Amino acid sequence: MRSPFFSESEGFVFVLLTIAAFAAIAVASLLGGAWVGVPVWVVLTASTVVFYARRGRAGRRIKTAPAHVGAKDERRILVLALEPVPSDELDALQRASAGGRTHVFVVCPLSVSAVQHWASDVDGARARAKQILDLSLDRLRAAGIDARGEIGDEDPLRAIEDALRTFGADEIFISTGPDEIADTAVVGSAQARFALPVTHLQGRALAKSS
Amino acid sequence: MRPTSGLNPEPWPWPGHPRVLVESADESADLRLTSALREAGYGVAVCPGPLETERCPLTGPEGCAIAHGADVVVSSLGLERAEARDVLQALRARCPNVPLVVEVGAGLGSEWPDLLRGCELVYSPVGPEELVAAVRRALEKVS
Repeated sequence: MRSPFFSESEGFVFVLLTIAAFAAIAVASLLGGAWVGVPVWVVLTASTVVFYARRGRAGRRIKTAPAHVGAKDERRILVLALEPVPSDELDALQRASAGGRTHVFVVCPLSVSAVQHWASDVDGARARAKQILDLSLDRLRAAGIDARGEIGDEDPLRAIEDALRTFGADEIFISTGPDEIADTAVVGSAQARFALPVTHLQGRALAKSS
Repeated sequence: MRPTSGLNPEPWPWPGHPRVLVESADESADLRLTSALREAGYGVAVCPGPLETERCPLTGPEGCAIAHGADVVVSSLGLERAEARDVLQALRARCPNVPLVVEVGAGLGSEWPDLLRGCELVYSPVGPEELVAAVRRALEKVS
């Protein structure tokens, strides 16, 4: 049987705390009677359960990144376009792609609701994603940035991961609309998952067609 | 609402390159070091190690898939902390074939002889080139 403790020192601390807890219960019972000892026991037990439950839920903050792809002077930039890349935010991309050989790849995830997903009704979402992708590529090319792209997985993080597997990237840019809280959360999630610089480009959302 | 997968990524989603796990709680140094490792052709994972109420699964019954799948582990958690020494101890016990690069404070290289035996040592503050060289040496030892 394996020890439920993470280390010997943790087991030792647990034994000491258990002795202290029983002492506290005994002291409370001696001073105030059995009915004072019971709430002390309840509070200590509840605290222990909450502590271990919270510790069990804590997520691991592990970031990963693929190896650099291409020659040393090559730079690869991945753009996740949740909304079209904003024309007035292209400076950051231009700076990142200046000098050396730079490849820019735009991936535009499908944005489908749960109902659309289960009904396999993704045509509208695909058309919208294509529109965002084309508009983003047009803007990048107009700014002198050579770029290509594709429509990606509906999960933005998976879309990034898929693109990193094939394209690789040294830096990630994520373009979102101005107030889309869910889209902005994707930026935080990408920063938490990938050990790469992640830059947020905030622009205007593409008008939603019915 | 966009669906996003939780924070449990595949241990090593990037095949085809040697994999380096960097254990470091210093976020500012992470990007600089991971960038150098990536440039040198390594896939990288960065783990901040045990924090406050959270414990490293490597020291518990569940183990750590990322550590088990790594080709090299760089331990940069600060051996002055007992938790960091527990993690290193667990790494040695559970992943005996994975070479270890350990960052130690200046003058502390002989402080924990049993724990550091066979490890590739680098002294803080470690520079990117120095780290890449240490990772290469560590990989050469096992190849």
